[in-house]
Amino acid sequence: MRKKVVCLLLILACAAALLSGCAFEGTRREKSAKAHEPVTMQSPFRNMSAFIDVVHEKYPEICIEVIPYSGKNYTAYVQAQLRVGDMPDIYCTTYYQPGRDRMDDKLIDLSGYAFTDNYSEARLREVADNGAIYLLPTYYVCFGVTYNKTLLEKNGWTLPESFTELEELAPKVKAAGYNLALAQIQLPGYGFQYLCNILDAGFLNTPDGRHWQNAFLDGEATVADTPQMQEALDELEKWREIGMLTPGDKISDEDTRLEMAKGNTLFLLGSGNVFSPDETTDEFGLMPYLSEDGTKNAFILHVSRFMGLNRHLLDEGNEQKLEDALHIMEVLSTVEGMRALNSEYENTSLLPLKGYQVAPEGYYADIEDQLNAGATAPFIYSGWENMVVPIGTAMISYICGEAALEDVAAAIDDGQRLLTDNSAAILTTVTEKLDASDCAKLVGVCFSKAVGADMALISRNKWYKLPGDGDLNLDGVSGALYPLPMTEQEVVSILPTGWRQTIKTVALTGKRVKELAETGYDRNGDGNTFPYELVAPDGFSIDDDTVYTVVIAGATRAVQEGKLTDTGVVGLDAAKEFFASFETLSKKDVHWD
Amino acid sequence: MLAVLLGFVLLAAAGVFAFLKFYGSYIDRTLYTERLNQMQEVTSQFFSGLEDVIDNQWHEARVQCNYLLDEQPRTQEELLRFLRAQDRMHDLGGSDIRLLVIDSEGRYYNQNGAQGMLAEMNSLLSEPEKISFVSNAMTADETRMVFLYRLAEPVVMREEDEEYRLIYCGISRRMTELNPYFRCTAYEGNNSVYVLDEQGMRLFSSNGKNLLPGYGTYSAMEQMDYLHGSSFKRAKERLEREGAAYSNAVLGGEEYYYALYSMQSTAWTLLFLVPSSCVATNTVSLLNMTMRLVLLFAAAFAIAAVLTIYIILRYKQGQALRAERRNSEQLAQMNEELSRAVHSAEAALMAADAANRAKSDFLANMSHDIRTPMNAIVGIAELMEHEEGTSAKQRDYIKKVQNSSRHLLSLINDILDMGKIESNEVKLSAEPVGLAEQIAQVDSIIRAQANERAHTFRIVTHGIEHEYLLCDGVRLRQVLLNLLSNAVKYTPNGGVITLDCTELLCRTPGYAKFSFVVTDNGCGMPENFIQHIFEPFTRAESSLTNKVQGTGLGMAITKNIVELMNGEISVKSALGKGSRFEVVLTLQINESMRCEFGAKCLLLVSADETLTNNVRVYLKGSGARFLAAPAAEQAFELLAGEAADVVLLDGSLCGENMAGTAARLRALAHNAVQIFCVDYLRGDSLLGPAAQNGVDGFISRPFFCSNLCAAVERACSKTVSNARSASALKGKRFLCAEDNQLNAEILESILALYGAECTIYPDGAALVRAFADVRPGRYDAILMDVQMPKMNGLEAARAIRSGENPLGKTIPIVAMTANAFSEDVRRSLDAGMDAHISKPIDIELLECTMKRFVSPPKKAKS
Repeated sequence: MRKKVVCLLLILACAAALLSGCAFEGTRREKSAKAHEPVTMQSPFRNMSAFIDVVHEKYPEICIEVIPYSGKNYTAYVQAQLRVGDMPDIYCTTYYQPGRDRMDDKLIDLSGYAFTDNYSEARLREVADNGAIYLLPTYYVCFGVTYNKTLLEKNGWTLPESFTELEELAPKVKAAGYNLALAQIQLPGYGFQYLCNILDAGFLNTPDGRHWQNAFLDGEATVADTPQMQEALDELEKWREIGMLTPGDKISDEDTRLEMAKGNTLFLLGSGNVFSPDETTDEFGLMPYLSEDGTKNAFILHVSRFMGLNRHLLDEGNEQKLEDALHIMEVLSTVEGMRALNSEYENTSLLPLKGYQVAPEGYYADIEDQLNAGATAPFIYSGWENMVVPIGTAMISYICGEAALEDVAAAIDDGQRLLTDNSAAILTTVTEKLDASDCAKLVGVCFSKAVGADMALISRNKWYKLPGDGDLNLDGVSGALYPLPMTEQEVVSILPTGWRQTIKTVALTGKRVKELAETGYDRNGDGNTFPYELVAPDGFSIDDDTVYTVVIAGATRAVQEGKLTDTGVVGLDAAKEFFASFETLSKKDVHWD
Repeated sequence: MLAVLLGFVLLAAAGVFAFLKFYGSYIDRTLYTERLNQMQEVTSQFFSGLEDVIDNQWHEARVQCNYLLDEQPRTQEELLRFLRAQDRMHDLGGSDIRLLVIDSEGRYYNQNGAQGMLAEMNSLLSEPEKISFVSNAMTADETRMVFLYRLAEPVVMREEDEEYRLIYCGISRRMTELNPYFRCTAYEGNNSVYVLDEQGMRLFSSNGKNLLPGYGTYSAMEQMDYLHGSSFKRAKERLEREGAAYSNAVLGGEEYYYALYSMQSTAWTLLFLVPSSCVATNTVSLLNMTMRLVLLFAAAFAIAAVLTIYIILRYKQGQALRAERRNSEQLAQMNEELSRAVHSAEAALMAADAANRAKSDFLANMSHDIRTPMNAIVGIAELMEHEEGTSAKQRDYIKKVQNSSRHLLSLINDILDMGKIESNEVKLSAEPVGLAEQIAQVDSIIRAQANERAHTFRIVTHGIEHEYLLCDGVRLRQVLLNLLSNAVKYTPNGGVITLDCTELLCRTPGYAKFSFVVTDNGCGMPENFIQHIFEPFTRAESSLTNKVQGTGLGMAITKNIVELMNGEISVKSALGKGSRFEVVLTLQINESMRCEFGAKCLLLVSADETLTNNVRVYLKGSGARFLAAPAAEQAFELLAGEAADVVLLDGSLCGENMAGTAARLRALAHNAVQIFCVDYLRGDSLLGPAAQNGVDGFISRPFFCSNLCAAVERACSKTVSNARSASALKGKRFLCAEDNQLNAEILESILALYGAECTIYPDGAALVRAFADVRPGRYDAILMDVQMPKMNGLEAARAIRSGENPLGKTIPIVAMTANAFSEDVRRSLDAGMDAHISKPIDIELLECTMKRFVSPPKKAKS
């Protein structure tokens, strides 16, 4: 009897275990099927739809909410996020100097996660911060001098391997009726880049040059008291003399690029060096910045994007988000994932991953050996942020023949004071976060007042998951203003006109204005519209039949029939004057008196 | 037994488990220590070997520096030539050693002619004397370790106008060259080695597969599960302190031992990782074997122990079973005997019940069957006693018959009472009772007996305040009569018998406590008999008692009745000195009855303190003034000054001068006074002598307030009934029912004897029919026999009370029956009858009963 009872109990226990297992399994399945909270991710580039697809191939349950940005100063925007600690879950930035700023209170140490095994140890050493890794490098871009390989070969010219050889080639090119070089100068940052890149092929990339950089940033050295630096600056004159520093379109680097695509120019300075087959059939290559004897030629290595995880993901209750974010980083840390993040860069960048093979079609296939041999110099930016604009502006002026070399040297030394005292550059202080809508309204008020318009239609950004390389809104307001002192950098980050572009207006009826405000800006003609922010004076009543002068940021051809007018007023100038009128800036200031 | 065995097994298992756990823990700790020690020994040699390898690299770098310094190339071409020569001479290429020379511009040169900018240029900014680092190509998957020495003097070269200063020289080698050195033969190559920088970042790993996830090795190690109280923090602290640390942790479910070692010859930290299964394998095997043997022996021991205990328990179980079987048999046998005993007892009980019922029936039947002829005997004897012409001898015979019949009746009554009492069938009834009447009844019966024996019988009351009670008057009288009759019987002629009735202090509201003391100066009882006096059928054996007729049940019955009434009875006696019986009863006061004394002032002329106190106690609650004078003279004086309504004269005090005293008192009171004589009855005289002595009335002693009130009322109404000088039955007409012809004749004769008339019907039905036509005044009362054919007396009484004749509701109905038990009285009263007298008929009792109907007691005014 007892045996029967024991057997019965055992059977019941087994049944209970089985049932609980089934129930547990059911519960687990049920749990996994529950919708995941979206993980916010700063879009490193404009279109990351392909990357989302790659993520969903492996992790279909992960939801990604893209924080888009297509403004004119990505660096200022993301740097401001980091400074105030208002980053998305997956944070992206453009510049990072390990050890310079404290990161352990903002970002997660990724060094212990298995996906870092996918990276080259040397690349990780470059971003290691006292035994931790807070930001992982993605695309390594080698800044060099883009050259028209087809033009070179067609004319039987040899690619110079030293500046001496370049000097010999230059007259030949001109004699052949070609332009030796064009420089993209839309952004003041380019001016700063060219200055540093050219000097990196000489003094700056030597031990003494690096010493000088550190001393300058410590306020202990200047150009004026460093003969080597003065000698190095003289190299600029050589470059300009032979025609390597020929300015392109001041307003639009795109136009400069298109000029290059015409095939009449041998060299191009600047990052906009991707040409589609529609634009040209010529082949292009990358040449290092040449040293005098060619022994210190240098490609400038720059990581275009760093990715990290917001530390708040470690907070209690965010376990699922953290897991999802780590999965996303895991996908990002693969060649397929990283390439999918921006396929545009596939041929023009190097990935810091093990097992990565240089694309044979890209620029780097020809220069791989040089890169491995060490013909590289680090990108100069970190520590120089406050001086990039004044020095870059001076350099561009120099390139354009509007300033002397001494002015460039003076701009460098003058910029040194900005290391510790940047107050002169501060226009106002933002006291609370102003989102894209607030910024669009402010821009609308600013531009309208600057040009005397009745109102403004300022388009904003919106994320669409687009197939292929579909783009976002490059013509409107993007990003946000954070509670920080506002300089030109921050202003440009939200300005549709960027650094140099001017304010445009159209004449539209009130009815048409309302229609556009309702429908939005159909930039790509695919129905994925970007919302307009209609900005008018407080209490202003729009009459349907009245024709108004409307500032517009983002105008389709249909809108342009309303007599799109270039007011000639540089948007940045108007914005600087407008924002400088505020002691502080907050949401209460977002209106039009 | 199974439970015990199971318990032992569990205990043994627990013990074995605890031992194994302790042993396992001990072994684990010992093994851990042993393994750490072994690993420390092995890795020490290993690291030492690696240090030698690295030292060799430094040595090679130093040699090349020396060579360079000796060579002092002046141009780049000379330098290249030198480097190639060194390569050939030392077969550097075969070892994949690259010479490396660094100039002041950050350019490097090697024997392959490669030139470029040193990527790790920042390492040279601090101008170290020597430096080593790990170098990775930009895209090529090659990791090289570099060892550079700073040249004591820069080697200056010139190319045209430019000066080149060579400042560092050394070698670089692929990290994979170290792989053979990273393999530890002691662990058969199952180890992994990680080359880390100072922050724990991985520079190189010896095998292609990374056991530790992530580039930050220290981060991964912090996340591991540590055993034996160790932790990564401790290991790191020891590393910083001693340059080496050892620990173990679990990674991916597998336990590893690891060693951290800070190299002295280069700024590397080596992490040596090996699965625990490879560490101290021989020791582990030995311990495992030992463990298995211990387990085996433990299991064998446990099994043997379990078997032994099982056998012992089985044996004991068998013994217990046999004992239990025997006990069960005995138990069954006892049960059977008990069952039989129970059956016997039940049968005996049934027999006893049957016998009891038979006895009760017998008693009931016998009572009626014996009483009925007894009634006839007593009645006829009485008739005969009154017949004229009977001789003295015949009268003597008649007397003896009467005595014998009375004794027989007494015996029957006692036996029946005893039977009832023993059967717990005696029920007390609580009915309105007047203490004065009860005492009077007792007095009338006992006095007659006492007079026959020439005893002096006195009844004295003491402070009776509550006369009207609710109790069983029959039982009360029975108790007093038993005690007094014994006193009469057991006191020689001419003795003194006293009944003292005292009201005691009672703390129970609504109740009064009484003490009834019967004292005699009779023969007394011996001490040894007193202890048994209340047992049935016991009598003291003496010459005197043997002559006294008795049943031996009286005291037993008396005690039982007293106890039924929640009272107490006690006795004191001494041979030759008499006896004293005291009965203490707590009786409920009849609050609805109270004497109303209408006078305002009462004067008592008496020297008797008892009488004075009794009157004072009574008047205390009446509101009247009380004056007391011990003698007539004092009374005269008082009455001269005071106005008294009522004067009580103690007959013993006034004596022959009562008339004069009364007259003088009346004169003093201007005839506005009532004067009563208070004394004990002498013979049968009641009020006759008093009236002749000028008093308004006679109040017999013992003194009761009801008697005083009745006397006052009679005096006020001036209705001195001549009938009081004669029987209360004289002139009364009775309607009777008696089925027994003889009893009917006797009844008729006795009534006629006392001047009463009666009409007798043979049964209740006939009487009821006759009563229907009876008019008021025709009859004074109905005497109803209870047991009759056709319709018994109870039914007839009910019929009369509920009949159409309105007289039926008021005419007194007296039950006459041989059934003398209290329940018989209760049934009679419940049937609507007013009184109950037993047969043989007691004419005095009938007279007393009829007096009640003639002058009912005063009721309290509402």
